[in-house]
Amino acid sequence: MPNKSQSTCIVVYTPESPLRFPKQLASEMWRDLRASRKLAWRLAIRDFAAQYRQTVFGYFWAICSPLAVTGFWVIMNASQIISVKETGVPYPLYALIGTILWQLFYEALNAPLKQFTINRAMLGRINFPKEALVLSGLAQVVINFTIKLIIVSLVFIFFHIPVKWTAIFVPFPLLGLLMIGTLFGVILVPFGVLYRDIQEMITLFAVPLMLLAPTVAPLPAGGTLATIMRLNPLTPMILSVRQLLHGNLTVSLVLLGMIWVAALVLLLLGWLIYRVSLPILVERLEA
Amino acid sequence: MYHPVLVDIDNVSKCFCRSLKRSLWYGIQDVGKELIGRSQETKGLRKGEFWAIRNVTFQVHRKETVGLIGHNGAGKTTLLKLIHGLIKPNGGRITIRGSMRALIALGTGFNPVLSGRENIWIAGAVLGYSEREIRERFDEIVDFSELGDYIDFPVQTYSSGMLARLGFSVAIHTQPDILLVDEVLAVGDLNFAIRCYRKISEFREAGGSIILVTHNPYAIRTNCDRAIWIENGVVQKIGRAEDVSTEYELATARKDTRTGGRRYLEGTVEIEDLTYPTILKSGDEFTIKIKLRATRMVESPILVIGISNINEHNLLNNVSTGDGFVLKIPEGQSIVSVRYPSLPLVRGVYYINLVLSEKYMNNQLAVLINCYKFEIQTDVNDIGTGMFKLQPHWEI
Repeated sequence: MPNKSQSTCIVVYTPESPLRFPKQLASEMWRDLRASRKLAWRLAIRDFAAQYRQTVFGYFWAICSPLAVTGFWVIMNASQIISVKETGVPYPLYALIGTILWQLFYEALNAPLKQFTINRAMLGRINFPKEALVLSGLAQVVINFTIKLIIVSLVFIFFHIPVKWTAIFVPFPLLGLLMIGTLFGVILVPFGVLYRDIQEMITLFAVPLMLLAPTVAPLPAGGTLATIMRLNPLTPMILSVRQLLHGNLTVSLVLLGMIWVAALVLLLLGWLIYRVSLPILVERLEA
Repeated sequence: MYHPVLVDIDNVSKCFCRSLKRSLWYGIQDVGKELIGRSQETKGLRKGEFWAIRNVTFQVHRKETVGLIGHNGAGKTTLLKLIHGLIKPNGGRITIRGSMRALIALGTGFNPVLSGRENIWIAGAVLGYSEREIRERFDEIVDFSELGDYIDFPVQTYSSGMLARLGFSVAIHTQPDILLVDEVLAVGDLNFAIRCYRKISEFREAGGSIILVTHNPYAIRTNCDRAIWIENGVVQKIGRAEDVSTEYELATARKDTRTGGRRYLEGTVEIEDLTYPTILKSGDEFTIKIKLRATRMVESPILVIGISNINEHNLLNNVSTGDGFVLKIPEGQSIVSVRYPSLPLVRGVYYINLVLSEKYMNNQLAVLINCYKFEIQTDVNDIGTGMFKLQPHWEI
């Protein structure tokens, strides 16, 4: 919306869509992204500190949810309610890795809308680079994920499973998961801010969607489910993380790269949608 | 005003929708419009929409303080949000030359469980300060907030005044070109409010421009050079702060809908007419002539004449018997005249109240409250408040 003229200090607000001035829009997006890093970090620290300050067990809660979810699947498997075979590693480790990866994606998906909701009062009153909200959400997702990695390492040690040297490439698919999650997250912001239905849907479909990727059970040999899972862009990402950690890489690098680049491009598009829709959302926050 | 224009509001309009469901749906439509590159310019309103701001034009120059005055819901805050770039206009153009900061809803972004100290860092970052700027100003901010040891306690334990003090302290320790101030300075104690206003005048002295939003004409008169009075999203008047605030004040009083007032007549006495000057200058003589008609002679009548302001504060009350006046009301028509040699009231709209009793004060034959209005005017440069305007002798 702000159309900057010659001097850096002049800002113009008109009813025109910023998409009519793409060059200027791009430079503003870049400027705001840079300007928002510090703020994003502050907000992330704020939310993180605030989240655990009122607790007795503190950061323990950060590792609690993957343990609980993993525990659930381990019990299901051990009691033969479901039976998962040929995971290559002990099932608890398999389920834990799958759960943590799923949570990385799911939290990234949830983060933008969640940040928007937490900071709605600020949005209606102060003009700050709104990219900070997305970055802050991302930072929190990454911090949470890093804490959970400690558990994964302990489980690796417990089962005496050696981690392969290829693990150094793991950040690549991890970043892919983050990008896909954030991409959907930012695109959902305009709809989610206006209609609460979106948040309800995200919550409702969390578990079913989790089963559409090889999170707690490997790809079935055939059938409709297998086809859907193969089409899921998360599948190659999750599979490659597992294979880089403790197996042989069978996922096509070309496919991985294509998904990765597509995610990046779509993420830029999502950012554009997020940014352009913001003033319209802000006026409906408390009007 | 020959200083350069820092804020240029050119024919700006903004519409809103009152119905929530419809507003959400329009929101989706508007996002779509933005994404295909279409303008948000609104020619005709959609169903349920109204103009929150309509064709507003004004400028703010460097070193100038401009007040926006109007009643609740007049569109002041919407205008402020448009200027701040939080929302998009549906027409017109807003040009801002220079950096801008807003003192709106102080303490936004504070987290209740974190300490005041931690929150200074957060609020500072939200306002766009660099780490260095916050570090350099940190002690100054803490000092100004006068929170003392409380600075290390969670802000949820603060009183609203303490919260506002901290919020203001963080926000004011910077020098933007333009400062937007919403009605936030009413919070906190007198001591702090005075220091806030002083800080704001310092800011102005240093060359900053201020847009102050308020519904208090006194704040406009004491802080602003010029004022803009907005009603229903439309500019009513732009001009010198004194002129605009005075007109606003009088219009507010005139708009008072209690015309007709409360009237009780027992039947014995009919108040036929009241004659008095409806507009006079403060300190002028004021005579009320009451024409009444009685169906019989009233025995030992007691007449109470009062003058009240629009807030229904009784300013003057005179009882005929108390003033040693023996009133006589015979059968038929009679005229009672009450003369105040001087009525030294402050500018505003007032009411005459009248109570006629027989023998005892509580044996009332006629009660007329807020039925008769008049207006006192003073020089526009008069910025005195209070109730009475006396002319003391000043001396050194």
